[in-house]
Amino acid sequence: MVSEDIKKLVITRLQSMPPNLKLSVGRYGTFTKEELIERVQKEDEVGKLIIEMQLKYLRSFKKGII
Amino acid sequence: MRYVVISRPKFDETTNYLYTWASKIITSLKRLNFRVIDLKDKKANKKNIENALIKKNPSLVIFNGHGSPTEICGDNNEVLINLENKKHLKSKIVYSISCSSARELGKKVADENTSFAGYEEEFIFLIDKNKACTPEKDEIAKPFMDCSNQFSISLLKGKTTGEAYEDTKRKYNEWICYFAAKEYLPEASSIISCLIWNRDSFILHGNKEKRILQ
Repeated sequence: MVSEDIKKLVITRLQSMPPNLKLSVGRYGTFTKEELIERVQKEDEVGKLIIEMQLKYLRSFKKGII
Repeated sequence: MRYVVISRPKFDETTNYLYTWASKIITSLKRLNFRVIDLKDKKANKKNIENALIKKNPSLVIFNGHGSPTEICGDNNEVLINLENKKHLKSKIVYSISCSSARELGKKVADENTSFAGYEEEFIFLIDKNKACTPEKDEIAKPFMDCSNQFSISLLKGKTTGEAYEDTKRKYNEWICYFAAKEYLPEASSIISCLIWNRDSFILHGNKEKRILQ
């Protein structure tokens, strides 16, 4: 179970994604920004993957990797 | 005769991109006088891949397509390689751009004479939906193509699998730094998050000293 705060954080990041972009998530297919936000809200497999990816990105900032 | 087998189905947006990216590698291979068995579109099926692996004994096998921790798939997600027929990959260099196939299958295929490079997690990339019909013109997807093709390019330059692996990680870092320095671009942080994900999921199992050019 992902906390609501984390979900909000990830959704805020997804909202900043330009509207012309789509994300290809391997065998799950390609998704628009709106579809990704929906998946994160539902917390299905794709949603969890996106949350994990965004958290990895934010942690890399904390570690000073970027 | 030096053979390379490439599987590149094309039946959805993701495979359409991987298919196009692989074209560049095929051109380079042909220039170096490799015989390329190009299993494209519908030809990317289990029968053809097994025939090619058994009869041609290629030094390099490149898979493009979908996958799972225990499978590499071809056209319409037909399973090409799984834990039952993985023996056909023995003693080869395998590069699998096929989601998460390196996690379990890759680990089991690899040994002291077999190299398996691939991704432990889903391979994730961004595309410009206005360019989806012409992947070669998609500048948003370009960094992902560059990183994805680096392993094969390094092998073609005569490098070992270990060196090609390090080159690929370096290529990811170059693109991450490029977009970190251009954070004013609206797509920068989305691209960086995908590149970090793929970089950390990319792995090489088995022999790190193999080359396709001896």
